[in-house]
Amino acid sequence: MKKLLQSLFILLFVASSAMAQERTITGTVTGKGDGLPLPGVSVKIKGTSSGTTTGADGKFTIRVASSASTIEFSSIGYVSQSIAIGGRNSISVSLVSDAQSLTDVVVVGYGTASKKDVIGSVAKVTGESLQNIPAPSFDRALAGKATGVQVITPSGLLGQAPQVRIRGINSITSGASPLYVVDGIPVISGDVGGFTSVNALADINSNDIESIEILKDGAATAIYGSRAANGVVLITTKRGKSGTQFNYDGWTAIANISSRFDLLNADEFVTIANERFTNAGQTPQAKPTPDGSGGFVDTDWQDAVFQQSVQQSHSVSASGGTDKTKYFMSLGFTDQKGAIVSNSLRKYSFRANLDQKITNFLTFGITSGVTYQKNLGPLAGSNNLSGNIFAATRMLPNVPIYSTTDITGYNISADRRSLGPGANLSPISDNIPNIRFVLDNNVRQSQTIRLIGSTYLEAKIMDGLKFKTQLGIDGSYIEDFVYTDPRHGDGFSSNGSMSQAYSPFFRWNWQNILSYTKSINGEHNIDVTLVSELQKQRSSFFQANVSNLLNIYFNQNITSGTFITPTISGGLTLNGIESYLGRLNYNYKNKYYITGSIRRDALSSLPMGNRVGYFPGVGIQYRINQEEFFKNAEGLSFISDLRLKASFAEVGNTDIGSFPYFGTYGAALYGNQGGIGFNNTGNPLLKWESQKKYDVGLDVGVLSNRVNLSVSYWKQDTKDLILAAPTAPVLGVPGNSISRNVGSMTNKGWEFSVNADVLPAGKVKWNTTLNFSVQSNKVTGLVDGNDIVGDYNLTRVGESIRTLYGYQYAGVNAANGNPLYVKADGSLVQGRISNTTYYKYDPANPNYFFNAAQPVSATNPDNRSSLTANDKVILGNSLPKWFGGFNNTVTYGDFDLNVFLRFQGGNYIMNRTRQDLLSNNFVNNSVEVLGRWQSVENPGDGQMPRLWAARGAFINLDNNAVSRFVEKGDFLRMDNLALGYSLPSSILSKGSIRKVRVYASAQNLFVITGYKGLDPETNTSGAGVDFNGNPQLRTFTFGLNLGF
Amino acid sequence: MKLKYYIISSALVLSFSSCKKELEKLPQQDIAEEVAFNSPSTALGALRGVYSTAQTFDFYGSLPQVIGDYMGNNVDFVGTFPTLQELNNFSTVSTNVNVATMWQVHYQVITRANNVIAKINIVDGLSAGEKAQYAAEAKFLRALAYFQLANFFAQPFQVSSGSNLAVPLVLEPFDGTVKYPSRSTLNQVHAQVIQDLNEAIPALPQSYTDAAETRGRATKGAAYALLSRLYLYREEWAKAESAARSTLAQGIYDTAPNYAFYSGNTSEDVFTIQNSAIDNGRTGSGGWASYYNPAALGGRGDAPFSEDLINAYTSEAGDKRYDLKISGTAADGLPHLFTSKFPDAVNNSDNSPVIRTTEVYLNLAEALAHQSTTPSVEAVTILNDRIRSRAGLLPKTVTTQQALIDALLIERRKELAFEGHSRMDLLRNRQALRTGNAAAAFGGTKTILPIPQREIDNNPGLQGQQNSGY
Repeated sequence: MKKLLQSLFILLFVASSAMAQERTITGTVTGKGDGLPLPGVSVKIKGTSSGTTTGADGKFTIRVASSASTIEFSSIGYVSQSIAIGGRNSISVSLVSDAQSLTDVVVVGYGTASKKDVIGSVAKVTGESLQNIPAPSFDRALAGKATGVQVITPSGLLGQAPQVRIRGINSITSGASPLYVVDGIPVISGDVGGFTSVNALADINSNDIESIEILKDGAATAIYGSRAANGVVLITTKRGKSGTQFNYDGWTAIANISSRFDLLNADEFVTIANERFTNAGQTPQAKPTPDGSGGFVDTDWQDAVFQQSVQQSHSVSASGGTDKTKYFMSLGFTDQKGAIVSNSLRKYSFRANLDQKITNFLTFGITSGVTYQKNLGPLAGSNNLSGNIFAATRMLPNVPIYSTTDITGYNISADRRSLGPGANLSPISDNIPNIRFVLDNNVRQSQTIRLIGSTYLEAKIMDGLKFKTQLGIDGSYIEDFVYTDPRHGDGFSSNGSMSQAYSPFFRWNWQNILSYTKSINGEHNIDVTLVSELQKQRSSFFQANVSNLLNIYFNQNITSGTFITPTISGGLTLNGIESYLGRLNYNYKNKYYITGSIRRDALSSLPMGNRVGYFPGVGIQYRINQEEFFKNAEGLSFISDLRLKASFAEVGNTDIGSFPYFGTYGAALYGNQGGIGFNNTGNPLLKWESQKKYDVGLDVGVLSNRVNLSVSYWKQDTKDLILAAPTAPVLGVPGNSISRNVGSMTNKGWEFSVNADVLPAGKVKWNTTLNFSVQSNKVTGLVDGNDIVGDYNLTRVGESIRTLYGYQYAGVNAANGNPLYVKADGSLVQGRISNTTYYKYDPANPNYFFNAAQPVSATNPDNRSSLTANDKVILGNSLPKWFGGFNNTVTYGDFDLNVFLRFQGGNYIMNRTRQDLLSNNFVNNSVEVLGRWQSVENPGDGQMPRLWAARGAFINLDNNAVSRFVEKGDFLRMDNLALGYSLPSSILSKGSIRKVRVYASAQNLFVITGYKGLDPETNTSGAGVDFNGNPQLRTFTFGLNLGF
Repeated sequence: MKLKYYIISSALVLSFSSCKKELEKLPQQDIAEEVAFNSPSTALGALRGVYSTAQTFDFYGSLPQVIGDYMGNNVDFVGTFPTLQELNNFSTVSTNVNVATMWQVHYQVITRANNVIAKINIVDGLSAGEKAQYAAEAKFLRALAYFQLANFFAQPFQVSSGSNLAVPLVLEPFDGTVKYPSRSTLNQVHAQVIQDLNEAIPALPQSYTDAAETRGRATKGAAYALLSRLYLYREEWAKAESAARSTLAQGIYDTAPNYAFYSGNTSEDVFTIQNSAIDNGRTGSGGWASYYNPAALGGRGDAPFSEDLINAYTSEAGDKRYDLKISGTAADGLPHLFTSKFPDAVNNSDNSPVIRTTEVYLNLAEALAHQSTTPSVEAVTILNDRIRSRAGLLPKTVTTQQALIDALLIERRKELAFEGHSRMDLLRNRQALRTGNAAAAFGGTKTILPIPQREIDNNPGLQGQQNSGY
């Protein structure tokens, strides 16, 4: 297109040259900041329509009539300049970056706004800061980037979706994740995999992201009404700009897990295992297994489940534009092999964004992204016999992984149910399979095709009045597959099985946006937006399961005639939302601002009487530095920006399930006849969870905004939380409960951020950003005030949600090795391991136990006691109280250095993995077990009780939180350290290359923490519980950025 | 410029015209309550849904029946589940999860039946006869549920003539109002069962066109048979006799010639819950075949023959019912004998036997025996010609009423072992569930189950109504 235009111009010049006295002017346009040539700058002769644009090298040639006096240079993102020609034949210009116009545009709901006019609390993360990082999805890279936004990646599994929480956890039973909107289309997020984790947001190529805006407070989110309670994340992809650009961004990374378990070696295992049997009065069962070459087998089973892996990513993009047509196109390829065996992610993504001016009042555009993702992963369940961590940490270290005598080549027991016992007299407990066999032979896979796209037509009706209609789709087609091998492991009892599921999801969204902007005398600035939005979605699945496989060769897809027993299942859900909304922004002389919005949402998933809701939001802003008195005050001139903001909104959370209000009948088979059965009790009064958001903030900019400070205080009161109110079972109500809007909670916090150009110019430049958030959560209402008690957590009125709750440990009774616990009344009991009974503990007489065979007497007092659920106490808050990020970018000449630290703390973690690693079954342990009590003379570390075969659950109170295993979760992580080198422009300008940068970086280089588990961010079952989670990765990356 | 306004105004009109239809979504996964009773097919579906609930593990999917056999003296429970061990040791507590689930599922069957009974009359398109029949089938299942509940949660009739508390009677569908019903007495619960069955009988068919339905859905014969069992439990011998005769008079029941009838839907079956490979009461932790088969055959090996039952079979050589066994390693790691009545531990398609023709004959014989001070000739004929000869045993000569009754009870035990009858057959005869265990004595507080703690906590109507001993 550009070529065409250029030729047209040339033709035009040729045609006109005969008519007037002309001459040729040449020159170069560069950027003022970096001195690099600027391509695509419009060069125009003032007062005429003739002109040209600069080439990739910034050079231009233009023929001008003798009458021409001035040339205008303009480009998006730069301040336009007019230069008088005079008598010159050569003109070179440096354009000043219009930082205000470029970086200070903020995407808000259903539109954009200039940063100075944004009243709501909106955190902006540039796409640039998410790139060049080998994260499997962009959402992981948001961690630590903005205040109030907590991103926890629970493990190093590549497909795992991080938990993103904006301003706390605002629901007990419903969704707590924000609403994600990609280029105006609300999209699905979260884990969408059936048998292995698949992050739906990994479908977006991070290299395609222009910016991410995180809407936090009422003024910013109210426009999203019933879906705004958990905050909103707006993702904007790149669009074409004037001037042709071609970019290549690629990296290769080497990943390893960042820490390993400290497990017993073969000798230690034999000692510990046999001590357990001996203490229990049983024959020792553990024996060293000869390795065939004179020594004994000593296997580190972690080598069987963790590996060093190589990952790579390549992304190419081309963009360009004229004043009529703008395009951005990209292709991305990522191939990541996991540092966790059998985990991998392969991704192809394609994007084409186009904007076309049709007439002077109509613009048409397309946004389209297509991604294919293939995820493979191990079974990672905390408590699955073939869960990779569960099994790997239990595998006996004195037996080998492989065996030449077994038909499979793996070390498998004779009955094929468990790991081969080697020289041990007993097989491993619980029939745990050889984990390496499982990882090598079972397949858990998910393939996704995702389409996110939209088209729009925008019409300028008159000055300031625009109408835009946009039709978007989000389609996700997921095929899940699992195969379990019949020879060993999970597939053994069913003689092999396969399940294959197809889960299509399709959503369409139609928005019509009418906007009007008007400034009266520059004093009264008005901005009105009216929107109608309609959304419908259909999600369904069907799944085929087969077992009794006839041939292990057919393990990639269910294949006809290769199995005996098939079963099929499926389901369908439809949903619709109809909304109307309006927003009014007004400011007087850019000084006093007020914004108000209201949204009306109607949801199909709610009962007729309650499905319509109105969600209002208001915000005010006072820019004090715009006041005359402030401008005139000499002493205050160092303050370049000063404003106070406040906002309030009432929003909702509709992530409450599909039809929670309906009394429904589900399918119920009887023999071979299809029937239906009452399976959900309706509550015709059910409505969404509703929330009031309050926010006040202060923004300060000093020294021409070289340093920006921001402080805000927020509070969110959520009520009508949906909880299952129990009913008496005799009523036969399915699930014995009715969903009711009965709960409430409050989240509140402070957010601080500082951004400073410590060294803004010169050879050394240094920019630093620190963000810090403090949060707290308090449950204020539950069903009849009753606690919700889980295995490790408790939700109680007056406490933070899912607080850790369990028994208080008081160490080991040095006289006999029994564990001591604190009862609710403060007294101590000892758990007598030999008969699994609790007795009152008397330090003066630590070895006294009531003899039940004798009558109670003065010499035989009954000191039996108990340890029950009533003795459980709160052991610590599971939610972090503070977190943040500290980012530093230093450039020295052509070198750039990024140091990004992330920190979090104030929370406690139940290290369930540690408890699990002290099992008293015939399985391996962590080295912590070596501190066990052996005798009065050799009492160990005082924390680890006496060993006793198969009594682990009594000794360690497995499946309960115990203070002994509850640890602080504070940490400081070196999230990213990157060093880059860019070839100087003096070299580049010789070729037509714009940019060459090479870099090396390290992610998760180290973590400083007191936490004894693998990583303080590991989070498995429920809040604050680390139960056999997979480790995090440490990655070294080498990359290249190339620009033409 | 005109064009511009046409485009814009038409887009505006389009966009703001409401699309009401999109919001009128009904769940597709499930059928909304209002839809469930608005057509004959969905109404029939709702009725099948009650049968489907009856298949559940905790109703007739084996758990109550297995418990009925091991709390009695036919089965030795050697499994590892602590909550099931508690029941085996007569040391159950009120928080026992299995007990709570059993209670809850029985009331789910009842609620689903209540829904059909209350709402069937509003269904358009069903004939009056069909409406009456569907309601009758639901009443039969409700009667079955209350009868089994009363057996587990109340002391038997023999302890205090039925004046003791049994379970709460809930007879209306749940309408959203939370109520707190208290326990009714055993006599009241039995009266309700009798009323439901008597109301059902006129509307129930004698048979269906399909054999699986004749044996797997409620029939006149099945309702009479359940009545005969109830009257036997209440020692109302004449009524038990008459009910049993009414079943046999239907003309479609006969004792099978040999023991190959299990899961066969033959004339031996009066009412049998129909299971299949894809639809059965098995759960992750158990099921008929799972409990009653050794690990080598794919079961858990939890519930082998008790020593007492082996002695009962071997006291007379050649009993063919003793051939219905397999040997294998049980959950305790020791060799044991297991029943072969439920062989499909792979797909769990074995049907759940509820009432068999043999039981009806035994009910009849026992009722007759109790009504005659000299041995009833008809009862002796049943004993020898129907029961013992099929088992390959010689005719037995009985000289006294008590000897006849005793002989019938022995045959009843050997005939119906592993089908859930042991515990109640012992208790109604005032016998201890186990010898040498004081807790298992007739009337012992832990021979019956506790009202689940969850129920007591959530139902003020049950305050102070817990069974004694819990």
